[in-house]
Amino acid sequence: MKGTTSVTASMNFSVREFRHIVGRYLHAHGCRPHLANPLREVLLSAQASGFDALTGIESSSAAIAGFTGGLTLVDTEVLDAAGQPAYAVAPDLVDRLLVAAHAAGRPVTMTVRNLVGAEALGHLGDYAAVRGLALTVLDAAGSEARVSAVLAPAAGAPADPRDAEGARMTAALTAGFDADVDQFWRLFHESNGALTPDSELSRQHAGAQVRDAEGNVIGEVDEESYLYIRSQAEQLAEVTAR
Amino acid sequence: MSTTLPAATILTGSTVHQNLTDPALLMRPERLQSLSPSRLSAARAILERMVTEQWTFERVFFEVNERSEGDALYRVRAGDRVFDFIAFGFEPDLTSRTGRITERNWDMMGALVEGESTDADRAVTREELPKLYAGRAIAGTLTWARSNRSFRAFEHVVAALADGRQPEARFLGEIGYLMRNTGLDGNGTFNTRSFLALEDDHPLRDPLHAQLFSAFLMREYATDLVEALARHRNPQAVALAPELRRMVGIGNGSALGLLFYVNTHPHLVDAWLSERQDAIVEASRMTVAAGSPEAERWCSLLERAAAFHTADPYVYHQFAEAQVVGADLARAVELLRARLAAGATTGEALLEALLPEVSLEAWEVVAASTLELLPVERVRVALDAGIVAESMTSDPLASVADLRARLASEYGWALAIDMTAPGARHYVWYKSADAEEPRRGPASEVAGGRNWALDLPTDIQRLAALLEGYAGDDLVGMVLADHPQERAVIERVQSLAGRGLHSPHMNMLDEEFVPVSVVRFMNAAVHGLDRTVDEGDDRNVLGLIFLGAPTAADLTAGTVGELADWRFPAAPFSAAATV
Repeated sequence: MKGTTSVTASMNFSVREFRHIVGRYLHAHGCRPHLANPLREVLLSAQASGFDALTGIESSSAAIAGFTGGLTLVDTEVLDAAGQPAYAVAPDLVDRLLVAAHAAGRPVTMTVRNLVGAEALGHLGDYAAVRGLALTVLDAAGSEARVSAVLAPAAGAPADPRDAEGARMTAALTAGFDADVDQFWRLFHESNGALTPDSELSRQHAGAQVRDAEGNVIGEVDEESYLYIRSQAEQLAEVTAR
Repeated sequence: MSTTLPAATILTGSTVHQNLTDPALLMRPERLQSLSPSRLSAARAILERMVTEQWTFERVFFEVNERSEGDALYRVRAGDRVFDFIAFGFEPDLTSRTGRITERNWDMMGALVEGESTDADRAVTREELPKLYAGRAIAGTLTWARSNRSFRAFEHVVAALADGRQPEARFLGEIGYLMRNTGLDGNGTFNTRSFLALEDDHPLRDPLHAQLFSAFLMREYATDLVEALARHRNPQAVALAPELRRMVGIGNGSALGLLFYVNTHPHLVDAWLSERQDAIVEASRMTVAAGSPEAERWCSLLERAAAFHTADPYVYHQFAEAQVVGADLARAVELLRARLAAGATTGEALLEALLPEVSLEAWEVVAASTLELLPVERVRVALDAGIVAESMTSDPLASVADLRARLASEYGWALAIDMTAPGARHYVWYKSADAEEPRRGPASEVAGGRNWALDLPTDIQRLAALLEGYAGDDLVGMVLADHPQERAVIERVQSLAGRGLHSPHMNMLDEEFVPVSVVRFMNAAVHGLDRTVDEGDDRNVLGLIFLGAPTAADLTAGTVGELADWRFPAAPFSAAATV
C-alpha cells in the first residue's frame, strides 16, 4: 500500500532527518557544543507533540549562540530565562522541577519569566514524563509561563524500546513529520554551516593518497588500485631482499 | 609489517570469562579490532534468518543493454511478506574513481522496498535516488543502495563468459568481488523507514539487517550483470558457474564515519556487544562430547578457518598477518582434537589453553566459533536484545557521590589519559561540506566548521574536577543548574550507567590513535565482513560482504544445509571451463 511521492508545498521527513538537520542547525548557529544534542532532543519531543520545531529554531537562530541553557532562580518559585526560548531552558526547567518536587514531597508550582515563546512549554509533557515528571502548564503567554509539576516516576525501562519516549514519538518513528518544502531545504542547507569548507588540503584528510618517496602526494586511488599497488610493492620488496 | 602478539600479551592474568566480558580488556581499540565476524554479525545473522525461514527469490526482470543501462527487479518472499529490490544500472564512467563518498558516479543504484512495487513506484525511485540527501524515498522503502564495479575483475569475467569459458578462479578469488558497495543507507535517511518503526515480526527489524540484506541483493545483481553483458557480446556466452557465484562477495570500503557511528550509538553498541560476549561465554561452557557431530563440525569449521586465513592474499598493516592467524588456527585445531581425544571438552578450556599459544586475532576466531554450538533460538534472543532505546537522560535526583563513584568505576580509563601530553590534541575530526565526508586532520590544517570528535576523556576529567566542588549528598540537579554546559556528558554517563561496552577506551584526538581499529571492529564483528584489510594510512578498511555465501538460487532451492559449513569458504580454484 505504497503511494508515490510527489513534490508539493509539504513534504514528509523522518525522525533521523530531524535529528540530522536540527542538530547541525544548532551547531551551525553557534550553539554551545554540549547543549546542542540535549536541545535537539527537546525539540524532537516537542515536535512529536505538535510543536513546529523548525519554525521555532529558525525564528530564534540569531540567539542560539547566546544560549546558556540555564535559568536563574529569582526566588523559590520564580525562574528567569534571560530571554531564551522555552526549548532552550526546558532541560534545566525539568531538572529544577524534579528537584523541587522531590524536596517538597508534593506538587510544586513555578513561574518562568523572560521567556521567548512560552507556549512551547505546552508541548513538553512527553519530554518531562520520560524524565519522571508530570508537567502541567497552568498558563503560558508571551514571555511568562506558570507550570505545575509532580513526580511521576517512570515504571522502569519500557518493554518495547520504541515506546521509550512516549506514544507520540513512537508514532513519529512510523509516520515521520511534515514540513513546508522550502523551509525544510532552507534549514537543511543552512545546517551545512556546521560542516567544514572543502579544500585541496582537507581532501587529504580522508581517502587513500599515493605518495612518493619524499612523502609528497602524487595522486589518489581507489581501494582496488591501492591494494594492487601495495601488493606489487610487497612482492618487489621480497624479491629485492632475497 | 604488523606485529602479532600472543593473545596472552593483551589478556594477561585474567580468566577467559574476564577476557570476554571485562570492559577494561574488551574496549581497548587493539582488542576491538581483533573481534571476529560471527553468527551475531549482521550479514551472517540475516543469512541465517533467510535460511531458517526459507526465503525465496525471483528475478522478475533484468533488462540491461550492452552499456549496462537498464532496470532490474528482484522479488523476495519472506514468510508472508514480500520485498522488492529495484535496481537501476548506468553506463560506468571509470575516470577518477576513488571510492570516496564525495563522488557522484555510480554503476548501480537500488532500493529495497516493502511489498510489490508498481511502475510508478519504480519511476519515482529512479528519479529520486540520484538526488541522495535532496531525494525522498517512496513510502515503504527500507534502504537506498549504490555500487560500482571492480574494474579489475569485471571485464575479465565478462570477457571469459562471452568467450564460452569460466573466468580465472584464482584471479577472481583474490579480488573477491565484482561490484563494491558505495552506499547502503536506511533507518530514516532519505526518509526511508526507521528501523525502530518496524513491526515486531518484521524480518528486517534488527539493526543493520536491512542494509546487509540489500548488499546480498546487490551481489545477485552483480553476478547477473556480468552474465547479461557477456550475452550481449555473444549470445552463446556461458553462465557464471554456481561455485564462482558463491565465491564472490560484495566489496566494501569503510572509513572514519564509523567512528562517528560508534560515538553516536553507545546504547546499540553496548547492547549488541554485551549480547555477543554473553552468548560466547554461554557457548564456551557447553560440553562438547568426543566423537559427537558438534565436535566434528567444530573441528571442521576451525580447519576451514585456518585454511581461509592462510590463503588470504591481502597484505595487512595494522592488523595481524593472515598467514600467522592461519597457522595459529591450525594449532588451535591440534589442541582441540587432542582434547577431544582425551574426552569431552569445552570452548572455555580450549580458549584458556590457547592464551599463550596464539595471536589475539586467532583467539577471537576460536571464541566466535563457539557460537555455532548454540541453538538458533538462543541466537535469536541475543539479536532481539540488541534492539534498545537510545535516549540520553539525566537523573538530577542522583547524588553527586553516586556520579563521582560512577566516573571512578566506569571511566577510570578516561580519567587516566593525559590530555596535556604532546600530541594528545593533535587531530580534529570533521565533516566536509563536500558530500559530508568524515575527515580527520591536524588541527592546524582545519579551518571552519566544528570538531565532531567525541572527546570523552576531556569531558569526563572536566566533570570529575567540577564535582570536587560539591558535597557528596548534593544532587546532580544542583550541578546541572550551576553548570548547564555539562548536561551532555552527565546525560551520557547517567544513561549508560552500569554498562561497560559502549565506548571504546580511546582518545581519538591523539596523534597516535589508529582509526582503523574501530572501523574494523564495526566491519568485521558487527557487520560480518571477511578479509577486512587496512588500506594504509590507518583510516580506511576494505572488506568483503557475503564472501562464499549461498546465493539466491541456493536459498530458493533450499539446498543450503548447515549454514556454518559455508563459513571460511575455500576458493574453487579447480572450477572447470566449459563451452
